[in-house]
Amino acid sequence: MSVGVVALANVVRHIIVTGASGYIGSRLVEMALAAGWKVTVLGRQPLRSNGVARPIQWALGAPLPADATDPDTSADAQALIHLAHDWTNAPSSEDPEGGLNIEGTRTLLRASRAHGLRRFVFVSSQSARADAANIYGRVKWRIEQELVGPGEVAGRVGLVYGGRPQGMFGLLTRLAARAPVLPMVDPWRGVQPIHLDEVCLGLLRLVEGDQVGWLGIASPYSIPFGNFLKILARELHGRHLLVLPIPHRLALLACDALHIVPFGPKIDRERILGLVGTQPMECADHLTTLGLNVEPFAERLRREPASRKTALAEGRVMLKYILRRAPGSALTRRYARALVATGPHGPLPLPRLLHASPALLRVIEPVNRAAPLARRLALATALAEASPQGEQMLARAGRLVRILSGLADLALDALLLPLRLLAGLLAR
Amino acid sequence: MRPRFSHHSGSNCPEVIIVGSGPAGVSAAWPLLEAGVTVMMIDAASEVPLPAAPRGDIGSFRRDPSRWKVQFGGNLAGVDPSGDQSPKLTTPLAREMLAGFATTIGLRVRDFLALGSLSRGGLSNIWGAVAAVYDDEDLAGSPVRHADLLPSYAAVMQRIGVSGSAGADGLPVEEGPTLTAPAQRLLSAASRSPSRNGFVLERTINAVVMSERSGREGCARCGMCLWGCQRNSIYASGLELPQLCRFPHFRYFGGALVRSLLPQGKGHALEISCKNGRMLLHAPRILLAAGTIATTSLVLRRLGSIGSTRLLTNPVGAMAFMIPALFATPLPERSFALGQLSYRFPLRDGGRAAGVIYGADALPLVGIAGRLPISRPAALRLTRALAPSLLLATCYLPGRFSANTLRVADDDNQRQIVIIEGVQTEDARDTLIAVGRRLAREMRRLGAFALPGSLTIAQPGADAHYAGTLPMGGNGPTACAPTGELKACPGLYIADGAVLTDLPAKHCTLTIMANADRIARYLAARIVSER
Repeated sequence: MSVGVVALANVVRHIIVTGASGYIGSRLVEMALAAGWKVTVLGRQPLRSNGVARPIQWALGAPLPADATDPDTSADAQALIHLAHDWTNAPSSEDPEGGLNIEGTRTLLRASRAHGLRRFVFVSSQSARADAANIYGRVKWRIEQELVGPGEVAGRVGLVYGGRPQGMFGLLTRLAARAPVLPMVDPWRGVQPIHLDEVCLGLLRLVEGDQVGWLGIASPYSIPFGNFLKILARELHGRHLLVLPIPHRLALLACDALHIVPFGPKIDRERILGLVGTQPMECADHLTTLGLNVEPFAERLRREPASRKTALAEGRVMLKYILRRAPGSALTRRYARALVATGPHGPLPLPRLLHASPALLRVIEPVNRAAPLARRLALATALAEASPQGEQMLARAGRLVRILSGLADLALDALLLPLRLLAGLLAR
Repeated sequence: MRPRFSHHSGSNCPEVIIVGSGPAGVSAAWPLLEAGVTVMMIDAASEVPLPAAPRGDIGSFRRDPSRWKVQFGGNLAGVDPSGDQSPKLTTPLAREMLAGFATTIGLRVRDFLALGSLSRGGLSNIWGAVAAVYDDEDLAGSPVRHADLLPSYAAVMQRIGVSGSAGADGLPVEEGPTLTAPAQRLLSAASRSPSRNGFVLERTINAVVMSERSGREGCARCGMCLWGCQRNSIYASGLELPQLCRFPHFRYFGGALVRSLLPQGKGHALEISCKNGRMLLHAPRILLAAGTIATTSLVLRRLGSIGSTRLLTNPVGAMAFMIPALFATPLPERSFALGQLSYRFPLRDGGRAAGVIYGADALPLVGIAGRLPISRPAALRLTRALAPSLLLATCYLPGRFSANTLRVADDDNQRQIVIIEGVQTEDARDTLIAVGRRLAREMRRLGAFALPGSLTIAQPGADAHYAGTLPMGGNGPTACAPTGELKACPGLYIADGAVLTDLPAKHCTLTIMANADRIARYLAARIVSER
């Protein structure tokens, strides 16, 4: 993925990243390197050095290692992006809630000021509020209050999706993949989803800029959280997800119960509280300041590899039905591309049975040509016809075979018409 | 060869400015230039080259692994299967050509399909190339008679090259390409059985050259007509620009969009916007050939407070026929995909219905398959079996069955807009259905059977025959003299479809060209005599 938009003419040339092995951190490092920055990553595990980023062992709470800064670069051309977060909330004696997170950040801030680093970018959250429902939000807010020096800024990140299925995105993706019905706390609560790459670009722009205080790095528009999950299920897994609104106390109970069950997804009650407490965040002006364009969620998601996988699976079903043989991979890929090119609708939720035997589509093919499934079939027909495979299939038979098989086709169609009409009524 | 580009300097203002490089503008330029009149042609087309036409013939195209790129565009943007539009409007080439017209001229439509092109040569780039000659019955009500147009028809046909079957009146028509199998059968059946009740079926005359002519190659019957003619055998007016540019007294000014017409002294001024910003051009005489919709909106703005004008179109339907003997035969490797046969017959209350019959052996199947009320896999296979035997007929009604209006206004942001409301007369639909029935009867007599339920009636404007807004003859505020001169604005000439008095059911493009030629001949003679 290109990040050529990040200008290389910035003054900062070296970035130190904490939490670089996490969901956001790992992508951030990739993008910073691709944009030509020198990067030093700090982490607990000895990080796999890809030969470009410099790994240094470090843990939250520990002082900034002496060799973290780059001796060849002046201090005012260096920056620190602080992503590391201690999810265990290990309490320190005097501050049971803030614990390691606050102490550790203070330590880093002191080091940053002592070295005279140009920028200190703290990765905060949309839920950061003094009275946030979850500890996470309150801790993030308290850390933000520490950022008082010049060049110190917080980026309040919205609901991040895309990239490797890790972090909150990983959890939601797994939920959307498995649950047939998703009981959900307050599904109308708005979220402001932003793609991982957009977040990383925003953070790098913060490194380049001179903003202070906090800036929102999230979609300027919010969508109901229930819709977010439905789109996730449709785009990534081709599934139709039912969202069942439930009181949040029940949800907390349920997630406690999940912790008892040995298998299945584990849901942290902290995260549920985080979602319940999310408040809308005005960030359109911030995005303008950062020169950041946040794409609509469904459109951006469609370009994710997982989404493509679903589109390819749909393509195989549709094309096999039309061709009556397995479609070639180039043709299937073209189908997936055409889905993206032709409109705002993602993959259709198709029953598993159809993936096994696409010929069954004949029984449920909509009579109404405006139905979504009928339009997909029309798309598959157009692409199949314009492929060598389709031409081979169409040109093969002799005249008599063509006439006889045409008659057989018509007879079968006539027989199946009542079923198709019935299927159409049921679909309504 | 590319047209030269030159910018107008105030010192040597041309005697005539022609607006538009479509068939009308180019046809008007020739007589003026040949008479030694200095001409500047203003064209909204930018320098961006249009997609190149694909090579090969239709047989190899069907098997070509990269066929999809030609058919849908490399970005697959043209794969939208919902469209009920004519296949020639959905090719990547056509979409490129039509793009931006509506937004640029500020078009707002209701129940109307308004096509236009800001590319070089205008709509002629996707012209089906049917070249019909109007007779006196077609010109009833017009101050211009067939005899007035005849020299111009001959000159235009000589210039652009037309083929089909030998024309009447000694007009220069070459022998056309071999027709598709079902059309041949139909034509020979028609030659055996005499026509009755005025039903006439004959070979279509197309603007297609059969031998080399000014850089264009003769038709090789490759069958790729729909996807862009690789040999330039099919006429498009942009092809003539290099020849026009050889006249030392011709200047071509591309990338210039006319915003408004203004009076200036004894002449006229054009406010244009181009890449250097806005500028004013002036000339004693201006000849508008920007296409009916653009021309009319310029004139209405120039005249001010006119209200709306009528906009003639041909209400159009389409119908499919098959010849059973050809069912399920293999598709040919080569073909000729333009109009094959033209038919016409008198309507009960006067005037004539007319249409053109096409083959289907070089068309994508998916458009036809989409109309069959059976499952997709069956429809695709059945269409393939049908295609070699299919004939697709268009049915046009005269313009009097249309009641569209066009007016200009300003929107809330003080931006100029053009509003077209599509209306057909109450009897248009029933008449089209009756025409379809009559056609089906005549075709059955000749051995071609209508596919049940195949008659579709298109929305107003789908014919793209826009005409009659500034008609020659009559006394309305927007009327033109038979010379094409707008009565209310001496020195302002209208040379495109806007100036037609009426719109018969036959294709109007060749007549628009001939009329532009006629108007320009008159204008040239006048300018020369005034010198």
